[in-house]
Amino acid sequence: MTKEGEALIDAYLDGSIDQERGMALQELLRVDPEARAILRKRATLYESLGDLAQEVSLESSRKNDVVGRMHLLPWGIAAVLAVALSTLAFFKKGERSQSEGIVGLLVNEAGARFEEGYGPDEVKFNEGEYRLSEGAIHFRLENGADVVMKSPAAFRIDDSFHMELREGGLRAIVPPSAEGFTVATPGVDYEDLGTEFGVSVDADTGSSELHVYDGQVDAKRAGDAQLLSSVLAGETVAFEDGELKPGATPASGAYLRPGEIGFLRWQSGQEAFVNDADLIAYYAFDPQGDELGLLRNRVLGSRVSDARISDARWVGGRWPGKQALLFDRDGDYAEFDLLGEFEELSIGVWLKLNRLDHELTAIVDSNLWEDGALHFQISRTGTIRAGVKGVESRVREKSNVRMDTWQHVVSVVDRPKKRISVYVNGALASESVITQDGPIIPRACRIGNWLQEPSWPHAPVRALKGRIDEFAIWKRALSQNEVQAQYEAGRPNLLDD
Amino acid sequence: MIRDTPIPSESDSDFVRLLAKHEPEIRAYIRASLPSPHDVAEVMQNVSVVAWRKFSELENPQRDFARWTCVIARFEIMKFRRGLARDRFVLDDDLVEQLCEEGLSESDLRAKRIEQLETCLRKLPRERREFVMEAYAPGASIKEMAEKRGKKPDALYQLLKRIRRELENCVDRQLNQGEAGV
Repeated sequence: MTKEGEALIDAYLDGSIDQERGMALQELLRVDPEARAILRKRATLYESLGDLAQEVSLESSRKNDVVGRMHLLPWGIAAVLAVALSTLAFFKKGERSQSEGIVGLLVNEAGARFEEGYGPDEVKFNEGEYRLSEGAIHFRLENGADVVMKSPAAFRIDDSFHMELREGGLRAIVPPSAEGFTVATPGVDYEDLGTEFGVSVDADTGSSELHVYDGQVDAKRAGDAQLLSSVLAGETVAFEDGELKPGATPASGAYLRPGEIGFLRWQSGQEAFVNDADLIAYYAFDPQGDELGLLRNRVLGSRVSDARISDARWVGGRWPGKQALLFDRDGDYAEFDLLGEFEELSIGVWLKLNRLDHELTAIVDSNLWEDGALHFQISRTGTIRAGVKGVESRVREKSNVRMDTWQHVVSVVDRPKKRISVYVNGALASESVITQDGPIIPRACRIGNWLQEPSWPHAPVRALKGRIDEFAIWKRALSQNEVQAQYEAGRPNLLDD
Repeated sequence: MIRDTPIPSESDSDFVRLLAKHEPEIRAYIRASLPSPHDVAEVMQNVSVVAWRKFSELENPQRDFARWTCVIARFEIMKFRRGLARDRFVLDDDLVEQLCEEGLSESDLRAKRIEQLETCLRKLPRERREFVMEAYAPGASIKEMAEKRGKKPDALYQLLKRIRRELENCVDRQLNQGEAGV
């Protein structure tokens, strides 16, 4: 049975066939018993779909309870109703919410460039063709399937369950809601059965490769959907010269993972970040070699020292591969010296809080409590406060931090403008007006803790409970746009706030 | 006020039960020859009325009802076709006769396919199931669905075709497994 023959049968059953194609169908049916059998089969299926859809409609209109009351009606009326209900359109379906044609959203990207006219609408993917010429992307389809690709790649999205890969490779992570998600390639369609897999296509030869990381993927011949192979976790198949054969396991980095995109983006922005002349401390939290007890200040020749880690342990950060320090005991901290006196000072930190155990939790505090001491802290209710001892200010609070999510917090002390600003994820969270000025002299400081005044017998504990994976200090007041740019460059992905 | 209602006879009850049971496959049988759902509905009504009138002539209703109503449907199809306007495509009479003839012996197969279709529909991801149900809902049109979604009708029609193929393959698979005793 040819594709054209099947298309004629569908057009006939859907009532869209014209005279010319009708005659072609007629000729086919006369000579081909298989075509007649398929016609009868599809007539059954399509008619039944109509029945089932009406049942669904009736179900949604159950409040009318027509079916429920049927047994009370005189038999003759019930019989007619029985026929009528299954043949006539009595009920209309309720309106459903629509997503304005968006099929997917960009979750993350690293240096991504698309060919002119072949890119997403900002972060929105609609049905259509895409050509990724540089970088890497991670997008999520409407049904929940995640697709991660690196350049060069050419593909077409038909809908959230079907995409065509013409060039390049992708990793798909398919939740149960997207089971059946299919990646069509030249000659073979890879249909997911709830799993994670990688597919790549060589645009020159049209050959393709499938590696299943988890679950099962069915490789079906394009066109007639004949099952060529069910590929299970750990297996690889290659489609070459019209034949599907076992393939070699791809290298571990062959198909990018979702988290790797954010990490790539972050890494690619490092050079520009460090080149800011006003940056005086930058701890990237990526320990080299045996320097596990140290946060190396990446700014060369700075007056700010490396930070010495005390007890805090290395754990995972914003992305797989990114390191962070876990502060979860009252004695955990990292200490550095910040010498000098400042007119302006900005501190930017990426952190993920687990708990707020104390009335005040330290993000970074100057040791002791002397004039000019710097304090950047979170109240038990989640309000972030930045201040300098000796600098009086009135705080106007706008928003709080959240628990268990990576957030970017920035404090900006700007003495000339008499302002102390705190930003969370690029947005202004609180603002203070300096009413009594004084110098900023941070001296020795602790990240994630505070060295209490020894003479203070009941000094409060301010130990942070959570993770930090990036810490930077500038000797100028960052503008809101700069803070926003920092956040954009480092946010874990593009979907979450 | 309570109104008297006629009490159905045993024979009438049998007829209703059998019609309710076999109606989907009779309609499927008609659909092969009359693709328009409205035509199917009209012919089905005529078949119901004729079958009800003649029900007492049927010697073994439990065994023969499905095939017998299909024979009635075949006559009703041919009768109905004569009244159809010729501005749309219809298959030639001899071909419709042939389809009807071949379809007569497929009553059980139709019933099984319908049963499996329900199973396969349940297996579809929710979004796809809802889409196909919306497409087949009374009064639905692909064009309107496409407008609502801001898509081209052809794209939705292609999607519908793919889902139908999936369902068809699933039904075939289920039936083959059934035959193989799996």
